[in-house]
Amino acid sequence: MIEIQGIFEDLKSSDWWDRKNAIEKLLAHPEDSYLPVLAEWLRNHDDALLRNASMETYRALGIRAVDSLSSLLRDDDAEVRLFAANVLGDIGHAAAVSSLVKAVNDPDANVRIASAEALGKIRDENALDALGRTLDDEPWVAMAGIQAIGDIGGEKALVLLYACLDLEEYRGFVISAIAAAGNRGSIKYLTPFIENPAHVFHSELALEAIIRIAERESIRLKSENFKELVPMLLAAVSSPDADTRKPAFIALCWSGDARGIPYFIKAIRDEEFAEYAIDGLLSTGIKAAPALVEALRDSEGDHRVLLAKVLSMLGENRALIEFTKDENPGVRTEVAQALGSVNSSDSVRALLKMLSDPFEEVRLAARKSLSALKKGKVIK
Amino acid sequence: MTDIKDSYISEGEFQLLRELIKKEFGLQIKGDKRLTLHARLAHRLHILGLTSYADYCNFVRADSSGAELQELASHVTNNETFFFREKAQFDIFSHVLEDIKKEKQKKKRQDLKILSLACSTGEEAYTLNILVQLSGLFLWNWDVRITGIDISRIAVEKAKKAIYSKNSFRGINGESGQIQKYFTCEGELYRLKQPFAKNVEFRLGNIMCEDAYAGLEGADAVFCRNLFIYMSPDAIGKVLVNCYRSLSDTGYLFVGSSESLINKTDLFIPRLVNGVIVYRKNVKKN
Repeated sequence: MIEIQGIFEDLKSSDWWDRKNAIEKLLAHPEDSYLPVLAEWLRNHDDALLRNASMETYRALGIRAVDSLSSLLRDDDAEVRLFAANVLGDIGHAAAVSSLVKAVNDPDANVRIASAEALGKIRDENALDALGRTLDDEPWVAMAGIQAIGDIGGEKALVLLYACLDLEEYRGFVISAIAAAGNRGSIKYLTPFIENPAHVFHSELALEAIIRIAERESIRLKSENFKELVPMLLAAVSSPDADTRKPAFIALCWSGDARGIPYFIKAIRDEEFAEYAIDGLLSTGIKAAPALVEALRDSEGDHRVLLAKVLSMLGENRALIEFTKDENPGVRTEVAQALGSVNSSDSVRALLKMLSDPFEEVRLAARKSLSALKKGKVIK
Repeated sequence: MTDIKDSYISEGEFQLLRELIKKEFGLQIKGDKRLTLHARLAHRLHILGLTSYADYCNFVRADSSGAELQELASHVTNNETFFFREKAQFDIFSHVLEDIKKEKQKKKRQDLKILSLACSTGEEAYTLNILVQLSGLFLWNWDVRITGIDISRIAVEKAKKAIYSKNSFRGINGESGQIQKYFTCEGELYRLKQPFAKNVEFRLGNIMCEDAYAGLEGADAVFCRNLFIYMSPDAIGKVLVNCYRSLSDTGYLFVGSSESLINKTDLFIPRLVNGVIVYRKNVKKN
C-alpha cells in the first residue's frame, strides 16, 4: 500500500513522462486497490491535473476499468458521467455497450452526446437501435447519434442512414456519415444530391462523399456521372477549401472533359494528384497533346518526365522529337523510348545522336529503340 | 477506365510492385497509383527488354548486385524539394546552433556534425551549410561536416554537382539578392558558390539500414523531413532507431512540420522552440 501511495504522488506530476511511468507501475498492481481513488479524483472539481491523471490511468487499464467506469455512468455528478462516457469510448471495449446505451437516455444532454460518441468509437451494431432513437432528441444529440451510426458502419447502419437522408435539417450530417460508412451501393443514394443546384452545400458534401467512397472501394466512376457537372467542378477546383477542391478535381479528371486540361497539367506536379491528372489527360485523349507539348516547352521540374510519358501514352510520340536535347535526362529517356515507334528518317537520326548522350539511361533507351526499328517492331 | 489502367499494369502486378517498394524502401503507396508508376518505370522495362511488371519484379529480386533496386529507388522516390523549404524550422536551427556551440565548448570539442536524411538533390543539406556559415559560430579550426543520404543514385549524383534550376529556389525571395549571394548564374542554371558547398558530402544509402550511417555517430542535428508521411510504421520505427543511434545525447531531430512523433515513439521527447516542435533524445532510453 505504501508503494501505491508513492505511485499516486508520481501520478500527480505535471510531467507527462513521469505520469506515464507511474501508470505503468500502477498497472502491475490489482486494480481493486486503487479504483476507488481514481473515482474520487474524477469527482474532484478543483484539480484538473488529478482528473487528467485519473482518466489517463482508466484508459491505460482498458477492459480492467470498464465495470468501474460503467458504474460511474450512474454517478450523481453529471461531469463524472460525462468523463466516464468519454473514457469508455476511448477504451473501445464492447463490454461497455449496454451501460452506454442506457446513458444515451441520461437527463444531461452532454452525457447523452458523449455516450453516443463513445458508442460510435466502440463500433458495436447492438447500439444502432438506441442511436436511431437519438433522432427524436435535441439536435446536438441527434447529430452525435448520426455520426456514431456512420462510425459503426455496416449494412444495418447504412439502411438507417439512407432513411435519414429525407431529414433536411440533418442531411449534411447524414451525408458525412455515409461518407464514413458507405460502400459501392451507397453511391446511388448520394448521386441525386450532387445534381441539385438549389442545395450547393449538400451538393459539395455529396460529391465529397461519393469520391471518398469511390477511392476507398477502388472504384473509378464513369465520365457520364460527371458530364453535366463540369461547370460546377471547374468552379470548385479553384475553391480555397481543400475539402471542396480535392473531390471536385478528381471528378473533373474522371469526367475527361477537355476544359480540365490546364488543371490536369498543373496537378501532375503534385504527388497526391498526379495519378488522377494522368487519368484525366488520358481520358481527354489527343485533345490534350498541344497543351502537353506547350507545358513541356515552358515549365521546369521533374514532373516534365510525366508530361512526356503521357504524350507517349496518348500515342503522340512524334511530337516528342523536339525534346531530344531537353535538359532533363528523364525527358530525354522518354523521348528515346517513344521514338522507337516512330519509323522515320528524322527519328532514326535523332536516336543515333542520342547514342552519345551523357546519360546512360538515354543511351540504353535509344539503343533499344533503334534495334526495335531495325526489326520492324512497334514499341507501345 | 479501369481497363486503361489494366492495359499498362494489372492489379496483380501493381500489388507485386507495391509490396516490393514497401519492403525495400519502407515507402507506402496509398491508393491505385498504377498510371504514375507506369509513367515512372516503363522505360526500365524497355531498356531491360522486359514485357511485364511481374517480370520486372522478378528481375529486381534476382539481381544480386542490387543495381536494378537502385534504379527502382531512383524512379519511385519523390525528389521534390527546394532551398529553405519550411523556413520556420531553419530559423529554429539557426537558433539552436548557439546552444550546440555552447555544448561543444563545454566538451572542448570543435566539430559539428549534421545529417540530412532522404536528402534528395541536396537542397536541404546545402541550406543547412549556408546557415552554419552565416551564423559565424563555427569558423577557425572547426570541423564542420554535413552529410546527405539518399537512396536515389540520380538524386545523389545531382546533389554532388550543386547545380540547380530556378525550380529549386521557391523558398528564396528572388528580389532579395539571396540567389546571387549564394549562387553563380550559368545560363539558366545556378551553381552553388564554393564556400557554401564545402563541408557537404553525399552518400548513397537506405536510411532504414544501419550501414547507411556508418561513421556518422554523434551527430548534433538530424533532419528527416517530409519522409515519414510516405513511410510504413515499421519503416518509420527503423529510421527513428537509426536517428537515435546517430544523434549525440544533446542532439536535435527535425521532422517535417506536418509530421509528429508524439505517440509513435518514446525515443524522442518533443520540445517547443519558438512555436516549432523539435525533438530531443530521450536519454533515459540509452
